[in-house]
Amino acid sequence: MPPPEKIVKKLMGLLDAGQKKDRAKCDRISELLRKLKKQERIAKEKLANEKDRTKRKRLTTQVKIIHTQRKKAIRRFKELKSKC
Amino acid sequence: MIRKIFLPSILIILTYGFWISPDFKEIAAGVAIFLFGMLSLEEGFKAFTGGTLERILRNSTNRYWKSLSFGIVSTTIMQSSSLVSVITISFLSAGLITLAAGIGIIFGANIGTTTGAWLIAGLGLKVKISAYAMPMLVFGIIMVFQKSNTYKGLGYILAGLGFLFLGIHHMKEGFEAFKSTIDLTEFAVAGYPGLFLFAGIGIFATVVMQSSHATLVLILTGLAAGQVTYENALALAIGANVGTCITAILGSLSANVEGKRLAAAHLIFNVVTGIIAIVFIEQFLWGVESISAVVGIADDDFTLKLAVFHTLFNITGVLVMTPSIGMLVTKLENMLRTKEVSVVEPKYLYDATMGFPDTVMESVRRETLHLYDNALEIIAHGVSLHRHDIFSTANLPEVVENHKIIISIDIDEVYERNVKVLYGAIVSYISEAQTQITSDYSEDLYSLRLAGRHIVEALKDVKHLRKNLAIYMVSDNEHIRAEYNKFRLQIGNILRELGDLREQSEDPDNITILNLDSLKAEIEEIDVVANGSLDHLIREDLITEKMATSIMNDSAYTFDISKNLIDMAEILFAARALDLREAEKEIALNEEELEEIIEEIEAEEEAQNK
Repeated sequence: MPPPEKIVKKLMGLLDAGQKKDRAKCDRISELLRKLKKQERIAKEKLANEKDRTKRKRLTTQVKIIHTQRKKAIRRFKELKSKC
Repeated sequence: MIRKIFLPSILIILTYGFWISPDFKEIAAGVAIFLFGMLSLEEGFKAFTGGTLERILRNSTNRYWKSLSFGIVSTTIMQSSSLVSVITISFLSAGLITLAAGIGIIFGANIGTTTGAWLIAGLGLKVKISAYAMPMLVFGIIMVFQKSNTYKGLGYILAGLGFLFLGIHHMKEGFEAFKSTIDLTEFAVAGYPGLFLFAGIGIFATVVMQSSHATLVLILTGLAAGQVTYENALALAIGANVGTCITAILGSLSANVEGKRLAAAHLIFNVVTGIIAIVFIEQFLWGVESISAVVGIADDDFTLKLAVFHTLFNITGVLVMTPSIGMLVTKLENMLRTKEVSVVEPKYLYDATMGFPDTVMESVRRETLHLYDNALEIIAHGVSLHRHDIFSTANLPEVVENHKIIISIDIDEVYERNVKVLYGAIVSYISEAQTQITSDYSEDLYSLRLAGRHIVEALKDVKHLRKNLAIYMVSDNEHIRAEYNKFRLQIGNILRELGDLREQSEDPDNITILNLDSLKAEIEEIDVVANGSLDHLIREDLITEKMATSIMNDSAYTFDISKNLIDMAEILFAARALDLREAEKEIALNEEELEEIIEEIEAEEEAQNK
């Protein structure tokens, strides 16, 4: 059983609209993280099998971009999580 | 199928004709020169539209009596009703006069042409203006090369007239061979059958000789030699009057629908006048005798009597036809309609969808996608790529390399037809919708309007890019060709990627906004000016300075096209759920982050190369 002040804090959080919005955003970013992870895996697999120099360069850029997006998403997720 | 074989068949028939008959060649060349003269004449008159000529013509043709007088005076001076009628057709085609005014001039020209018969019959005089063709061409062409628009316009008019005369001259020359075969005595027939027959011969002779004056000379010679009776000579004159329309009909071939209406009016007038003259031949004969007696023409002076008859029946024709000019104009406008340009109509925008925010949003989104579909054709063809190649699995660099033929497209025309109306409808629908739905949706509506603007902006840039692309993609200089092929490839790539993203946009797992970051990085990376490849081309003297400037400008156009398309896709192909879109926008990389990645990759590449 959590301490009563924590239960009150959670209850207040549920009633607060701003927090509700942040929580929804948290969910969305977590959803995006899942999709990005999947895309990064696919891109890396393609890169491993690709021989063509130009296509490899494009895939490398793509992997790096997805990776940076993921890092950005994780950072944002942590920010929001601390508020929730 | 018929359309496809029509032109080759005509060309083959003409070639065969040229081979077997030099006369036919001369006639055909005459027609071609004549039509070229018409085009030149129209070009010349266009130079004066909106200015002095328009004012003079408007003031001298704004009343029926004025246009009639204009026709009479100009034909009397020029001694050629055919020339006046073709000039009037070009006035009309250039929008300088109205159809009613044009008809007035033609009616006047029919009276004016009768002075020719008086000159021939009374003075034995024939004004031969075809002798002026050569000087006209010389002066005309010199003036065409001048910088001043007025001189240029005058030059085109002079050269046009010169070509008209030259064309008529060649047609006449070509038909000389047929002239000797017209022996009038062979057809002498009395009564109405004779009248119709000789009118027919008159038409034929005039069509062949391209001059009613020449036919009149033939008739007078025939009359003097007793080859034709007086009555049949009159029928020949009627036929000559009808036959002279052929020049106007020929002239209208290169004219717009207004010009064709005037040529039809000319034909109707001359045929009706001809029929009246034949039907009431007895009354006309009586009239001629009475007038001849009054003015003192001798009983046996048939040539002058013929001139009286010519004038009388043309004046009668004008008197009969004048009350029905209004009706004639209406009938001709109904018969020969302006060809409407078929424009693409909106498919999803209806008033019925206006009341509900969701239907409004969906209608606008779909219509903007429809706009994009229409724009796709212009963009792809603008850079000489086929859509089926872009949206196939074919290797795009190879496609670009192998497709060296410039795809013909009039971007302005296709834009007017397929984009402008649609874009206008979207903008107007959104404006109307904003007054009816809650402000919660106004931001989304604004975005959709922006998507439409991105599409239109991309099209404008394609138009600019195409100017040099059409020159350099087929250039002998392989370096410039390669640079322009890079532009084509970049746009082809963007369109292909956007096609894939569009397909995925219906997938709940799509993250379009994030995926577009890769495309944004790609267009930054291949900036020819920033990546140093342009400097290399200039330093090594592989391209000229002019080419370098073109590359710089067109690289900017290519970047803008790509950027506008990506911005459009960010709105149109993104997830529908607002919160998901907002989350994606938060994570999407900004310019600095993208640049960092590009630099990182370039550094890695350099290290590998070392």
